[in-house]
Formats: sequence, structure tokens, C-alpha cells
Amino acid sequence: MNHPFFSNIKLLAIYILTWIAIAVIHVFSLQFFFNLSFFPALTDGLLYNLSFALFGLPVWYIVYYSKPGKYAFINQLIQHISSAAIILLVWISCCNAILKNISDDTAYIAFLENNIAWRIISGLLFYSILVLIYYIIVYYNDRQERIMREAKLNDIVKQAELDNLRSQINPHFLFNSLNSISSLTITDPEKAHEMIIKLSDFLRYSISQPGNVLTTLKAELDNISRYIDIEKTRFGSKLISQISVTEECHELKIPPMILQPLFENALKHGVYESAEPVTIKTVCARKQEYLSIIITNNFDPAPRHSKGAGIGLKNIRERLKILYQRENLVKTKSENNIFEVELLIPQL
Amino acid sequence: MKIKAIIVEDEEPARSLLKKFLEPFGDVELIGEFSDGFTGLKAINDLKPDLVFLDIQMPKLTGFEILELAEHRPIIIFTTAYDQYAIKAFEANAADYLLKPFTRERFAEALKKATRRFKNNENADVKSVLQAIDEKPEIISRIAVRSASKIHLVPAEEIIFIESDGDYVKIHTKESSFLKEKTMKYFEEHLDPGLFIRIHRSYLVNAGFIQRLEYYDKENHIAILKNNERLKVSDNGYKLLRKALNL
Repeated sequence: MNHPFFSNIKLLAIYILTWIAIAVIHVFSLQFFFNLSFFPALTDGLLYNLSFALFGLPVWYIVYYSKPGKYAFINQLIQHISSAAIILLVWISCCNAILKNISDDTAYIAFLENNIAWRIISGLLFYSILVLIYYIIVYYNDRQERIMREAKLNDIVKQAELDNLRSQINPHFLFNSLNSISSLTITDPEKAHEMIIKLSDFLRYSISQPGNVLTTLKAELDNISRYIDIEKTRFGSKLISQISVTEECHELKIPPMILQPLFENALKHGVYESAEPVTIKTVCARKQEYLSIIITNNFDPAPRHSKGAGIGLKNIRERLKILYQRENLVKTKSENNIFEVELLIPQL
Repeated sequence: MKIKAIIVEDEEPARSLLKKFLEPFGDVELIGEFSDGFTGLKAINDLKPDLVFLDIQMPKLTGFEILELAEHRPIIIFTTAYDQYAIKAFEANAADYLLKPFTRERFAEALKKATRRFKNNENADVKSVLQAIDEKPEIISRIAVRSASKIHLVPAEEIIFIESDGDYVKIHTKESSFLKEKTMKYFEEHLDPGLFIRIHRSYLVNAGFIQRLEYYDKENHIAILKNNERLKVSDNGYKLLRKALNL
């Protein structure tokens, strides 16, 4: 990983300004508390602090490469003690040598030689603070990275779930339609042709819609009309569909292929099982911030020969929950041999 | 003599196709077409056709349920889109099984078989056909029964127990009981095995209706049902019951 001070210009500026500030305080305290004259105080303050600023930069790599988790705590401690020792040794001896060479002030030279212990203490302090800051940066970066990775992972999981829940065309539907078409090619070729076109349109719609991009209610209802028309070929007047939509609802947004499984259910539990006509009523209206779609069908209450698995409704519930992060967007009830399902599609 | 035929099929295009395919056969006379199980069953009993084109998945009654309940035994040609009913065993048998979609040739072949059967005056051996179909048990959630002249569809969860009764079984529900010409084994295989336990050679009981078990003698226990009926439980039945009820 790059050095944080060089990949973030702001941090570098703060680092430099902090050291300049420390140097200024240093110069002033030498002048006022130790009564040194201005020039030695200035060279001392600048050299000691700005050189530590330079020595402090590579310490980052020690921190970064000995990140906790990678090495035991004791190893890290040993690494820091040894690097601090080397840095302080080089730092103090170089600075003292240079300062001694450029100064002819005997009081100052005495000061240099008497205050090595203080240099070590302040050096250790600088080192510790710097290491602490570096550790904070490492932790912060790690955390950011983890949050980003988690968010990305969540997106992937969500997408996979949505793909999974997306209503697939029931192979039985396709199979039954092909059967009907095959019969019609013999008895009524015109009608067979018409049905093939409707089936193609239906399939085109269902494969061309990406799972997470919303479509309009109008497009979705047009598709349902095709679906109903196809099934009408099989069941004729036994299947009655009434759709009522208020004008303002046509352009409202809805996940594609969310209605088809509901109509499939209505057909399966209503039309397939009943000898009498079954009416599927669809009412779409705006309800505050929702698009409400209510689908009802009458059904024959006689016990079923074999039971369905109820996957269709469950999938729709899950899909809406993931898409809108909300519960209770699907409501069902069964009363007086009428089954009703209401979808509430939030309009954001 | 013409063969009197009916079509029992819930889809319009399929009925039209059968009619169209039948047209060239002058010796077959179509005397009716029906689109659900009830009217189909009634037509078989009332019109007594020689030949029935019978769909399997239909409203009200399935094709198989119709055959279970019919009093008249016509020659059957099944027409269905589903192949899960052990077709091969079926085809080895009397009537034929047309898997939709079928060709005109395949249809003619089926009709030829049926005509031969009609001329030789042998009835379709429906029973053996149904047994052949039973090779692959499907869990049923209702039983079609007849009492007096009415058809009842009894939901499996309302059955308290089934009792063997000679060539028949007696199906007991809260309100009443029904005789049905089937074997205990058939129901043991076709009702939800998690719910229906064969507690005795003569009893298949709905575990949900058992109130408690009592010790009877060394070999036997007694199951006391919620309607206070007492049924013998064999040693083996007791083991099955304990397993099912997690005792």
C-alpha cells in the first residue's frame, strides 16, 4: 500500500504544517526558557524537527507490514523498539554533529552536549505518537475497505437472489401452449398463426427484461393480456379477464414479470379446476405512495386432487422484499370462494 | 355396427383436433363431448359409449377418478400431455395412451386398437390398466367416492381412518363412511405417509385423529381416536406409530 501521506495531499500538508508548528514552538522555547540566542535556537529547532519529519516517513512501512494479526504483539513491539533505537541514534548523532559544526557559540555547544537525554525522550514521544497515528490510519483504511467489500458482497448476493426469484416461464405453460398450437395447425391454421405471434411476443418480453430494472405498469399489463389471450385459446369462454386501470397509473413503475405468476396461479387454481367460468379481475389504482394492484378470481372450493407448492406467491413476496426493503407488500385473502391478492408497489 | 364414442377433455383445441382426426373414420360415431370430470362421468354412465377419449388432468374429477367411479366400462383411450403414468405398462395393456401432441398416424393406430377390441367384444381391462399406472405412486390429497347417486370428494385430512372390508375399503370421516373398491395397500401408498399410519392389517389411521394409546395385551395396543372409536394396533403398527408420533 502507498504511503498515506503521499496518496493524500491533505494528510501530507497537515504533517508538514504540524512539524513546522512544533519547530516554531521549539525555537521559541529554546530562546525563552533556555536563553539561547536566536540563530542557534532557529537552526536547532529546524534541523531537529524537520529531520525527524523525514525519518518518521518510512516508519509507516514498519507499521503497515507488521499489521496486527500478521505478527504477534511481542514481535511488533520488538520491531518498534529496534527501529526507534536506530532512528534516534542516527537522528541525534547526525543533528548534533551538524549543529556543532555550524555553530561557534560555546554556550550552545554545551547545551547540545547536556541535553541528549531530553532529545531521546522527545524523540521517543514523537516516535510513539507517529506510530499511533499510523496505526489509526491502518485501522481506518481496513475498516473502509471491509465496509466497501461487504456492501459489494451484499449487492452481489441481492442480485443473485433476485435472479433466482425472477419468475421463470413455467415450462408447463410453454408445453401446453405448444400442444394447443399443434392442434390448431390442423383445425384452424389462422388461429395457430395468431397464437404463435402472441406466444413470441410474450416470450420476447419475458427474456428482454433485466430483473432489477423497473418497467411501466402498461408494459406489464400488455404482457398479461398476451398471456391471457394465449390461455383463452385453450379454455375459451371459461376464462374471463377484466382489467381496470386509472389513466394516471399507466406510467407507474413496477418490476417486470411480477404479475404473470399471479395470473398463472389464478388460472391454475381457478380455471384449471373449475367447470364454470372463472373471472379474473384486475384493478390498478394509486394509493398514496403505492401502486396497488388487486387481482381476484373465483374458484371451485372442492378439495384438490393434488396440492400445489405455493412457490409463486412466496417468490413474489421475497422479490418485492429484496427490491424495496419492505415487508407486507403482498396481501392475500380467500373469502366466499374468491381469492384475492393485492400487491403494493412503492413509487419512489 | 358403429362405435359410439365420446370425448372428455377440458381444452377446446384438443377437442377440435380429436373431432377432426375422427372425421375420416366412418365406423366411429361421436355422440358427445364433455369438458370436465363430472359431466364426463355422467355421460359415461348415461350414454354408455363404447369408446371414450379421456383426458387425465381436468376440472372436478381426473380421468382416473372417473374410471374409479364409472358404472359402465367403455374402451378407454387416454389423451394427456403428461407421461408420468407409466406409459409403457399401460401400452402393453388393453386401451391406448395418446401423449399430446400426437400425430394423425398415432391417433389412427390407437383407434385401430380400440376398434379391434370392440369387434372382439372384449372390454378394456381397466383394472389392470390402473394397477399398471399405480407403479409410480403419486400422493393424492382427496378421494372421489360415491354414495347413493352423489359424488363426494373427500379431502385426505378429513379422513379419520380407513378400514378393510372384504374386496372394499371403508373410508371413515366425521360425518359418514364410504365404501370404495380399492386395496388398503393402494391407500397406504397414495396418502401422505407422514399422516396415515398402517396400525393394523385392517386399519390405516390418520395420526392427527389419535387421542391416546392404551395397552391391551402382550401383542396389542388400542388406539383411542378423537371420536372415541377404539382401534386395535398390532405390534408392528405400534412401532410405526411410535416413530410417526415421535414417542
